Amino acid sequence: MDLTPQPAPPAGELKLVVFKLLAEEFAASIHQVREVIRLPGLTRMPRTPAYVVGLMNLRGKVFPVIDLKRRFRMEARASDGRTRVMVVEVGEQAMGLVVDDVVEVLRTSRDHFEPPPAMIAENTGLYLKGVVKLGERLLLLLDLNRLFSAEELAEIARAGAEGKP
Amino acid sequence: MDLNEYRDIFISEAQEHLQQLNEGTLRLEKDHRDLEAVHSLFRASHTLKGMAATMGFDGITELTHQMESVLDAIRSESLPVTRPLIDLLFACIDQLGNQIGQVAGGSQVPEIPADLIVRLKRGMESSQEPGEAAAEPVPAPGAAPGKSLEEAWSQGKRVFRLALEVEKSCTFRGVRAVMALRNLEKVAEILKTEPGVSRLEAGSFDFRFDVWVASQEGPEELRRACMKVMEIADCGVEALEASPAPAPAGGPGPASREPVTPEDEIMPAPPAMGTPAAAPAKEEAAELLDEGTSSPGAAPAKQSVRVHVDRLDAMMNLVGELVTQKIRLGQIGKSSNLKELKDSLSQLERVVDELQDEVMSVRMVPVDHIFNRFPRMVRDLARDLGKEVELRMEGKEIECDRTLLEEVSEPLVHLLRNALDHGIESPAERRAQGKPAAGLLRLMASREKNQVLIEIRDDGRGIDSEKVRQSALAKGYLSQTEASMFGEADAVRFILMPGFSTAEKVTSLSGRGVGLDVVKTKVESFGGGLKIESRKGQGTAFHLRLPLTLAIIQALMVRVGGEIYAVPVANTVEAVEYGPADLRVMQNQEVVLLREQVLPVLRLGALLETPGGQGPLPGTFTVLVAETADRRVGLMVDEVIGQQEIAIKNLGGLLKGVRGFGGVTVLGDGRIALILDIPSLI
Repeated sequence: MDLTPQPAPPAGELKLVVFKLLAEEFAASIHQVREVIRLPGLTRMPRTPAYVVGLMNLRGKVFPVIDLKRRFRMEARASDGRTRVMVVEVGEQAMGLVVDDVVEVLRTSRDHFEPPPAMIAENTGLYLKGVVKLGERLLLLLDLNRLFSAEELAEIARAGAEGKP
Repeated sequence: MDLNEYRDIFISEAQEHLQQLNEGTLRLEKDHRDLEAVHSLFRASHTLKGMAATMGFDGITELTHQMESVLDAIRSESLPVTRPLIDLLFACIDQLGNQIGQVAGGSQVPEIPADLIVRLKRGMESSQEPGEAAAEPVPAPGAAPGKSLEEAWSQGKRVFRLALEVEKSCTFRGVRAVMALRNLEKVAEILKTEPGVSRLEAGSFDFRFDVWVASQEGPEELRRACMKVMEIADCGVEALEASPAPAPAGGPGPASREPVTPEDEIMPAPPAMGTPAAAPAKEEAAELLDEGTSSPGAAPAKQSVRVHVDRLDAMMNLVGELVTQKIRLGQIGKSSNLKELKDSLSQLERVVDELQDEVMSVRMVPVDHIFNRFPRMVRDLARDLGKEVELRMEGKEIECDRTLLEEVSEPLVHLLRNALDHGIESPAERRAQGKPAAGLLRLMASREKNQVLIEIRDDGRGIDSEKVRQSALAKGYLSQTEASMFGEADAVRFILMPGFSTAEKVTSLSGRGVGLDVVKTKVESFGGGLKIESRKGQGTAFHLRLPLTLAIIQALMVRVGGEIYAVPVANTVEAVEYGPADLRVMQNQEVVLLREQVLPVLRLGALLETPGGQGPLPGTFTVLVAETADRRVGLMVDEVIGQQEIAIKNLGGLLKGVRGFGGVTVLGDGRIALILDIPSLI
């Protein structure tokens, strides 16, 4: 999959990877998603927040795996046959995001995009670019770049430091 | 041409020339008459000038140009080498380093401080003082005190300047010059010479000199008088007109003269800036420079290419992955019965091992890479501190992984400073103790199996255990009873404690509480170790132990609560097995006895919050004995699986800040094991 950062598709087109957390449908720009794999064996990483579920080895590269539901403080659910890891690249950092299902890759017109409505749960509000309305379907478009802010990184480091007796 | 592309090449080459300048100046400082050093200095600044001019760095161009003039004057011996002059040269080199640093940082290159240029020019003027001395009535052999030019003019005489040249092959320059002067005396009155007569007699000039004469004769006659002398190659005659402002007040000093050496003699080609076409030219230039610096035992220039360090790192990573896959394949091969597979696998193993060795050796650089800047640093520090020190370096050719070497550079600087500041006494104090006034500071590198040892040894006052004891007592680190049993070994342990410093005065060097503990922690963080040995009144030695490379290390694989971790062997002293009954509690701290000594132990499972790590221990357990800067501690693990080579992968940006881990490694079966970093873990 092409990883080179591209400008937002002109002529009003959006290319999205649609995935599920619980029953809700989310979407991310396809330019940030490198690939989608089944949940691999993970190595637990001590001294990190609970949403860092572990480290994954993908063809010799090691990177952290984040449970998005925990990240958004959503209800936990055991993984099943549909559970997937989206390998994404955010800035310099590659990471895996655990999602409940990857539904499809779709193209849609920008016209269906709207800025985030006020009533969206505040847990995800910060990371939301907006919503995409496709008839009855409502996709929450995530801004992966905001998933880990500088403060967030500091928190991870702090969690590590606090592990120190 | 996009100059940015060439900037990196410029920087790396400029650094080398800077190094040559430093080395040359140090040599010149030791021996003011070391003309070889002057030549090498001249070449280095000349090359640097050319490179800077190509890149449009005017400040560097201007400064090196002025330096060249000064060096040229030294070379032609019209400028004596003095301490202030050496200092000025060092100041220029520092300024050049500063400028190059700015270029490297991508920032706007600042102007060269004007005062430096002024000082250089003044340095040149002072160079003319000997010239001026000579300009005074010439004590020419047998000649009556001559007259000044003005006098000659006022008496209506014609004044000439003769530019004489002896043959370059001439051995007895002084003799030829004096003979020419004798001949001239017969037909003219000698007003002055440049350089002065004494220098001419000594033959200490390059093959040109100037003579001012007053004479009734014409130019042809004067020329003939000179040319009669053997080995006088040329004699230019120039009639000087009287002018209101007596022109030759200072005489045409070397400053107004073009550098004698033609440019192409030094530089075979315009500065090679790394374009493929220019590469052979660069090679040549490098060879010439090698000759010039002529450090004893300098290897002949070899064919080489510059490769960016990032690429080497990428290669090392790939090789690390290859090693991992090799181990994995080996395990699969063992469990199969295919002979061909096994044969092929052993071949593969051999090739991969060789490849690993090759790539690692590519990353190796001699420790001189960082050692070479120490002589200058030590010299400056010693001067600031008013001490005399001889720095002796050994084993400069020992090789070490480049990244590692850069990591260890700062700790070494710290230790050298420490030795100068605290170790070596002032010359007076040393004399009073019957030691030579100049302290001896030795920096020695050697190789031992898979480790590089670096030793810094001074013959100074050693660690004053009494002072350390007092300080420890005052700061509450010691109880009275403990203090009464305090020995030299304890003193060494204390000065490695964080925040512990016995320095009485805060100098710019040390004594700010950022002490040896920082050095020790740093060295340990990349799997090395630091040991101190000290004898009061005889000196101190610091022993640094470093792994050969950062990328692949020896590690103990341990099992803790169902998880596997890698512990760098360098972090541990030994592993000892215990039964549940051996674990005791003293003052709320779990301990075991190790050779009758009480060793506090930490449960690694609890530190790492492993599932079930907090609970009771299963039957037997193993204690890894680890030493950090300030303590010795045991880490309880369920079992040590074995020792193996592991390839280190760094944790990415997201997890970089998590303390306690030095990275990860991929095991043969594809699983990931975290590498523990003991100093930051406990």
